[in-house]
Amino acid sequence: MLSLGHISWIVSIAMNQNSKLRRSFKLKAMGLVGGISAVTLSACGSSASSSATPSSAAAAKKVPLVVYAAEGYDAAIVKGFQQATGIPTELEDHSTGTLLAKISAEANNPQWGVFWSDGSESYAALDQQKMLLRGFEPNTGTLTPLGKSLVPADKSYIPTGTTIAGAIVYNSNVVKSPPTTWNQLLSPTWKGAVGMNNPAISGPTYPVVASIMDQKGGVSQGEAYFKALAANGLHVYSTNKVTLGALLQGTIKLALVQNSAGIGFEYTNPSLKVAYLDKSALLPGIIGIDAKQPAAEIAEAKKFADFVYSKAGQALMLSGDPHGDSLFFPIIVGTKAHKVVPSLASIPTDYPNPVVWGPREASLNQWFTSNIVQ
Amino acid sequence: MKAIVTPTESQETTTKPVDGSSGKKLSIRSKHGLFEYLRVTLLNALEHVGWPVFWVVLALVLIIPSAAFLVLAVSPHLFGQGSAWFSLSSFSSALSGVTLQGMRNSVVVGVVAAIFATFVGSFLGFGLQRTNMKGKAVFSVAIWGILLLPSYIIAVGWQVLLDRGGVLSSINLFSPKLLNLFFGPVGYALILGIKGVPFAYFAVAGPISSLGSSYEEAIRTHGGGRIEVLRTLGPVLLPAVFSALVVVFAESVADFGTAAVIAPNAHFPVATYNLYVALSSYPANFSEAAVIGWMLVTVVGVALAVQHHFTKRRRFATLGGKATAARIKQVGFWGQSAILFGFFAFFAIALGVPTLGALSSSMLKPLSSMSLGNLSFFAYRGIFSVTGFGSSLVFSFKMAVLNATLAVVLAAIVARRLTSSKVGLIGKLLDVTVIIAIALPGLVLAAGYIFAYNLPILQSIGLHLYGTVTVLAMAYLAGALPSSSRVLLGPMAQIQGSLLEAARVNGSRAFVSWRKAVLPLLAPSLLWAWLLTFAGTFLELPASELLAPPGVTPVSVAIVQILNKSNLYQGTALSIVALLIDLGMIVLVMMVFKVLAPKGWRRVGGRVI
Repeated sequence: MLSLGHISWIVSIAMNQNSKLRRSFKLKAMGLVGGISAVTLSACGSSASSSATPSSAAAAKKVPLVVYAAEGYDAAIVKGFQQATGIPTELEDHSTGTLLAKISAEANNPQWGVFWSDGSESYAALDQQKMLLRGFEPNTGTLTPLGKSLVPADKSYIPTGTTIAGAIVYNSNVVKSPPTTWNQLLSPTWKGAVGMNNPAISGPTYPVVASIMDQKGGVSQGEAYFKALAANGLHVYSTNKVTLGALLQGTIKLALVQNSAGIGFEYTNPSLKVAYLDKSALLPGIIGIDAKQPAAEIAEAKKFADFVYSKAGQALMLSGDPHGDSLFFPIIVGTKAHKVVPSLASIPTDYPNPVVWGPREASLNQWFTSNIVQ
Repeated sequence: MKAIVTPTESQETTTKPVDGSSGKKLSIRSKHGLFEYLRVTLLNALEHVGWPVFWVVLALVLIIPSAAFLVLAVSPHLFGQGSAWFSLSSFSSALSGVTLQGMRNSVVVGVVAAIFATFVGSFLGFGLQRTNMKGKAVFSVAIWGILLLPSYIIAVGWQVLLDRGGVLSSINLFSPKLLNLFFGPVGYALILGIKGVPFAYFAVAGPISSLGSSYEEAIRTHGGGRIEVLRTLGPVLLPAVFSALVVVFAESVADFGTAAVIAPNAHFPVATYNLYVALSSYPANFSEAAVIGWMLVTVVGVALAVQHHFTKRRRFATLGGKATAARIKQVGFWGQSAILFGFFAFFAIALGVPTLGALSSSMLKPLSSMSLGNLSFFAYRGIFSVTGFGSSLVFSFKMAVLNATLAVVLAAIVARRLTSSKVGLIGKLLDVTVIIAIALPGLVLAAGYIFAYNLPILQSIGLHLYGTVTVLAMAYLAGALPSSSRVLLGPMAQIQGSLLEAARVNGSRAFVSWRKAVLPLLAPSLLWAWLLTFAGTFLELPASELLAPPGVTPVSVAIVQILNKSNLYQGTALSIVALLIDLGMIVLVMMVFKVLAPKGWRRVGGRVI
């Protein structure tokens, strides 16, 4: 009853033990049922990372730096960083939610060196669990006053730019005068016309919820607002993709999404416009460094943050995802935003304290799912 | 009747694969040459280590990761997910409110979907296997089309059809009631039911096809009418029908995609959506997710126990040495028309509506209404220049071939063991393992892999499994094994033990007799299980996202990355291209089987292909 496939498979597992480098593998399964003789599998890692070992002496010092990132420009930055420093870098590019689930599940034995995504709340929560390296700031760029205001007191994470979390995207052919305040969304004009993401599933949506609750004066007032919004026919979708899809198909008239995604859509659909309500939640891009990694990887992670703050890094951030995340508001002196990005001075913004609102994320998301979604 | 349901009391003595004594007899008999002696000794050794190795594989692939996840319900601290070593608080909080309501809804919807899918699947099976209807090849491929459709595309299709400004409203048939009905429990159950039809079909088509007409003729000879035929042969198909019901039920309650797309707007909590939310928040609530996992396991376990209760008391073996190909019913014009009408009606709903979704989400110019003039290939231009997508296709293709092959071998062993009359403790253990795996959604299993294989203790003994392609391959196998073995259960239960006995009496070893006597009869079912796994693995998302090593990007992850980069249209276009590749592979393999497989392999159940 046993096929050779079983044995060779077990052997391949054993052979893969020495896989710290995690780059090239061969799985062999031979002699399987029905004449299928052999399947050889070679899964190679990114060409850039596997070839970056110039000399054995240098390679001994350079451990692979693992970057978990959910930014549209992350691949461009990682490539540029490797070219500039020769440090072999492995990128895990997924959505914020997936990466946070991975980080949570790996808590016993963290695998990431750098974590880069939007929204400071989850970093505040990671910091409370003592998972982030504290007290480090890159010295390759100078922060603007706005940038400085985003740095936490214990310097446990590093802001790299900012966007607006809950901007209004609408079709200007259908909507002639978009709303200007959160309260207007409760009026009959917008009954059944507003769509947003479920904060429990879409990473960058929780800051919208936190900001509205913060502006309304607290959790209970905020909950009352969302209940009223739900009573006015709020549509809740899982992610940006579905919410914007609903807007494009005309199911909703106003999509409450991240402004960079909205501006990106203006490129392909000029009739789509972005409006900002009073006040809009800032959604900074954040780098965190894993405090539990060995010194060598932490040193490389610091170099990575330095590279992001450098001129070369800033240029790559602006060019890596031209119709999406690259449309951010820069916070480094000397970096200029894309022309289509409005001046931040013209937008009333709000930045709820992540130390207060971060730890509430799980319970408020649960509340949102139980009371607004269902 | 008794002649049909053949008693096979001595079957077990001949199918025990680790039966040392029978091997000894053989080795004495065949000591004619050194080569033959060595060959027999090797085969003997293989048979002896076979089951232990099988269990080691099963433990590594399924048992350890599932257990690692499920134990979090009572001991969050074990994998660094909280301070308590032992706590039942997750159970008490999960067994109330939305979580409990979600579980209840999942069960109700699962039952409805299972009945619907089994009914439709049997109808399709009868039409395709036992009648001379036209267009069999096209419909066979269409069934695969349903299997591959992503939930997102299905939901968009219904929206385009039913929504204000949609297709129905353009012909003045818009109805808010219909819209609300669909984007509610009814629509949710309907989509799950439609998605379940291929599973049901695969479970029943083989047995329907292989139920040779000799049985029918025997009843007719003894004066039985059509009703008698139905009454007598209906129960013989019971294992397959129960397999279909249970597979669809389990797939429905453990479904993720449809839940994520439909459930939130239906204001209709279901278990998997609650589980998704528990895992997606930060910090992820693994304990609550584990409790929901326990509930899913329990529910599917009860369903399987019911199946067990009804199918274990009697034997249903019909595939024996004398089995002949079933007679194809020559249906007249009106009969043909009626069957074709049924087929067209079903496929219009199951495939036509999602096609509308695919067209509108990848070809319809943004912000325009559904009409031919507004369709364009703009999103497809340049998608093959997307960096690295080609290597993603190659990687997922190889993994899908590898996984399908491994899964079918293991699933056949599992199904054989589960259908043998003397199950014993080991068999029961196997049953429980498969129940757990079938009930746990892919994301949960993938998280279980992280807990189990990222333990510091493993690395301290030099076992670096986590973050390798091997672990991803193991997770793919874990995801595929339960459904493929369940699909094989029905056909396997119909194999008459006398076939093996005959082969063994004639001097064949257990494996050889299985290969020569049983494999040809099972070939079509094995092929379906292979294709099912191939198709599922090629586009698998949860395990690919959580377990693919850095630098390795499976197709589904590549597509999600493009969607995340705000490139909605290109992402959807890519997912449709990937679907077409998947479907193309299935058509190709079916054609190759038709051309290359020995005639005998195709004759018994061959009309399915």
